[in-house]
Amino acid sequence: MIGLVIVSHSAAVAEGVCELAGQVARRRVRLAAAGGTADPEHPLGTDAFKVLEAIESVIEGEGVLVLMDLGSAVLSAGTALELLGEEKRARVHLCAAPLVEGAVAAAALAAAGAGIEEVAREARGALAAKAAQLGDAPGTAAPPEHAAEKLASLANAHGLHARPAARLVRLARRFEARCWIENLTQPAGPAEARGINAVLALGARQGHTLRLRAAGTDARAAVEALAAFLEFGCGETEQTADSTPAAPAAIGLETGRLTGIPASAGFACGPLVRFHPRVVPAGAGPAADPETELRRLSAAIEDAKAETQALAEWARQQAGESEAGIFDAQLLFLEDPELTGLAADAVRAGGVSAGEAWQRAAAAMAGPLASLDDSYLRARAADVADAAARVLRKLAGREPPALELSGPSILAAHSLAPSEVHSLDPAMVLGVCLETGAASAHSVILARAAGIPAVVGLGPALTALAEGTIVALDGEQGVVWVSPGEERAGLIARRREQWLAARRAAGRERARPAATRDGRRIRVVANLSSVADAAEAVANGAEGVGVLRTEFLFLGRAEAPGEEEQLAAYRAIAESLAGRPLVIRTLDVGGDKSLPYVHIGEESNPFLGWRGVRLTLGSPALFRTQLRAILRAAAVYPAALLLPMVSAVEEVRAARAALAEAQAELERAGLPFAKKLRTGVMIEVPSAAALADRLAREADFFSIGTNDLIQYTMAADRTNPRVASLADPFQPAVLRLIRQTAEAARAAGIEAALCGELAADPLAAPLLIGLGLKELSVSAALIPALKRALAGWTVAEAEALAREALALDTAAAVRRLLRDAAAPRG
Amino acid sequence: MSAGKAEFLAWIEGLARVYAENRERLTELDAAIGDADHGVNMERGFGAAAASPEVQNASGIQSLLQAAARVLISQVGGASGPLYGTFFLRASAACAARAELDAAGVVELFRAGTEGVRQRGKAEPGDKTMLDALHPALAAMERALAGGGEIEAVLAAGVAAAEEGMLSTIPMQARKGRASYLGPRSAGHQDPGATSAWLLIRAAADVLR
Repeated sequence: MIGLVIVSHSAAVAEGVCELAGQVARRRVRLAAAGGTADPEHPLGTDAFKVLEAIESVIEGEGVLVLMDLGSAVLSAGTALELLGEEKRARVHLCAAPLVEGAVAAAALAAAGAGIEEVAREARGALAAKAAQLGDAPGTAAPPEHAAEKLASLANAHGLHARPAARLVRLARRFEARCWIENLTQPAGPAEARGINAVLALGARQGHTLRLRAAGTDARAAVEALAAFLEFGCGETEQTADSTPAAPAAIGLETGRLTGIPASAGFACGPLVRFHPRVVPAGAGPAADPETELRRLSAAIEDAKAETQALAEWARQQAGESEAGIFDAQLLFLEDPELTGLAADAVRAGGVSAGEAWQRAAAAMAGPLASLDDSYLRARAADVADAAARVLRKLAGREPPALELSGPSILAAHSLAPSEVHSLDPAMVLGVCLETGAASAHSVILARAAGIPAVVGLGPALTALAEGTIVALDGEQGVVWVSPGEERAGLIARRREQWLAARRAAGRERARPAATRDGRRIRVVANLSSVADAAEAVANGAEGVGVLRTEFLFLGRAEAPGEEEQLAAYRAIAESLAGRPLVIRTLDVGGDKSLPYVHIGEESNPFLGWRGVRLTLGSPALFRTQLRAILRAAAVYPAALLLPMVSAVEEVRAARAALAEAQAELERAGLPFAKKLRTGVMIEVPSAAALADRLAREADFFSIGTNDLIQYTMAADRTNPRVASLADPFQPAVLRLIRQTAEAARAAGIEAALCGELAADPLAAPLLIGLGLKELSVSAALIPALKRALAGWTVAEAEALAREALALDTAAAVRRLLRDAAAPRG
Repeated sequence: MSAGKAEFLAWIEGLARVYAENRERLTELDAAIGDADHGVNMERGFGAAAASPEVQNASGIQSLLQAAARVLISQVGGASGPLYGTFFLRASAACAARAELDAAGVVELFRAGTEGVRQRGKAEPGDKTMLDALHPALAAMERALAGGGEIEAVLAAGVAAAEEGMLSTIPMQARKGRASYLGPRSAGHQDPGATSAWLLIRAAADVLR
């Protein structure tokens, strides 16, 4: 992470610039303001010590860029550097960029994962875009003749303002190609899409036509991705565009009042207690003989794994699967044979203690991660360090002392690791104040889930507060009052009461991971049919995408979409999902959907004809292109593959063979792709349900598609009013097939999910849990209602209900049972 | 003859007095080509330095000058803060752990301080800055030292050269700092920074011996 320090004669200017930069930094950049002097009588001026403090507050990371206004600001920054000491000095760059434009450009580029040299360069050139727009600068380099090109119309209601522009820049930077954007409606540009200021200067508004051009190896993919991204509102839904999200507030100190970033809502008032990080004991003493050291090492790793597992379980209960994923990943790291092998080799080579060997091996593994271009992966280096430290603690044989609080308190710390949040008792920790700005978003999410209000990014001012100082914390505004007056303290106490009451009341409906009343986690994910759906799914609290129906890419056009175009769409969706899992279903046409470029021919019964995986297996070129695009998307994003309309085992085998072939091609082409791609099978044909135990050996997961399963099982078309009553999801025959599928999955140790309208029926929720399903996929809008329905039941109640339902003879009886059971729950 | 901690403390205290007495004069000069805060800044900065317990209770010359530097850096909001702060910071480093300084030590102190100012401000003689007083003063002090002069003689030579350098800034066109925005219009005014630098050396000549 890069730190950005803003030096100005005016505290208000420095804080304001931080605020502007914070809008595009998305908390991926540490910001610190050093404005004004400490003298209230002469507040205008600069103070090298303030600059020094600001630099030190953000220096943990790849380096610090200092931007300053004029005159003494430059001198004070230089003086601060002199005071900093040689080692740190080398990591600090004083940058001659224009303050406002430079800060915004630097923040956007740093958030996109650029290195500090490049960030500094872009910041220095930040004035060019404005100069170009005002017509007093030389033109920018134009794209070459042979550039790939595509037109797109901007969907965002508020135009291409800072937030979507920052997202667009981040997306553009994922490609090797140089990309240009030009506003054709209101002529401006072309601007290079790598620079936020240039993109902002296009002045693009809703409905403007933008010309995208790119040159380079993946130029086509780049323009497709950017076009899709623009067309679908740059990952913003209208709601998020309209309501200003918790914007990072100014960082600074008023009289008796610290302003930071609101990170976890809520109110608290109490004495301040300093939280010191759990120090890893350094050096593990002299080495015993290699055999002993090896035993110690493997025992420590086992212990650390057990602890990590417990942490994952805790995070899963607190905040859901996505946060538990941090610890699951740590577990994988601890199990990595390359790492353990490296450490063991060092021990065997002799003279090295288990601790030292481990430390070296872990550093060797984390090093390359930390230097990756992808900021998401880079953040994983911190997780790796967290896990590695756990092993060292186990080797040392003693845990750092736990935090002991004599009474309910508010914690102040530099930063918190996710596992440190675990050690906090919500009954004793009333609130959390952090110096750093969301140093670890994971820890903040966990604090939020634990109901601990938090304000982060308070800066070094926090360190000045003495232990025991009474502070009042407003996690909604991001404000901390120091030694609040009676009135303020009373107000905060009242708001805390209201907040706690509201929290209790809204607890079940909160957009948080779904669970049964007794805490069994059920993953609620979304069905997607377009790029635009992705943002809505996230806004509605989807924990991922259970099925992306890719037909939207293929329908209504004269020829099949190419690999790059598909890849661009998958990437755009995955980007909107921000790390949540994405299951991509291969093309499912035939039946009632036909394509001009796939000749199906006359079929007397299309629903029993050439459709789904049957069709794609019979159209190798079409299938291959889609598999390649999915494999390439899965190289970067957590994507999985899903095969529709499977009715026999050999279909899965044939699809796997095609997948292996596509992988071999990509390998030869030198393109990045997923070496392992989770491959699931849709259970939507009765034969597949009947064969579930066999299919479970071939598949990595099942996804039950109820809409087709009902029709095929009941041999009834639900659009035909005369037989529609037969096509009822609560038909005992359908429920038996679902149960059989879930049981086969459980026996094989794979997961069974369910997508389709049945999952969206609140009446069905307890039944589906009772049948053993762990994941339900519905359209985005139905997610909150589904979560509410799930929370009304315990697993035991749901299982009893499911048993009862399966003993009934008719759909009507099942429906009655479910209605009666749901009634007392409102 | 050599100067110890008491003499250096007297220098800082003397500077507090000198800048207070010359506040209006410096402000007037600064009003012509700058932002009219130099007098106030210098009075405030050195007033605070002289009153600072760290300066008053310093254990030696080095810690005394270092403490003064810190006060100047944090108390003077304008450019003179980091510039004079750097002067004293570098000067303190040049004193090392010596309890007393002889003439060579004093020259060394001014050399280190002047070099610090030059590096911090990226200015050269002729740019119409404090350096136009400091630089010729240092050269004169080095000559006097080479001629076998004691502290008094060395500083006296320095004061004379600084005054001359200060006056030489009148016709100059400013190339650094706020005054440089005025371009040719900055000519015809004596530089306030060169003036405060001359006062700095004059105050040293009054007490160091």
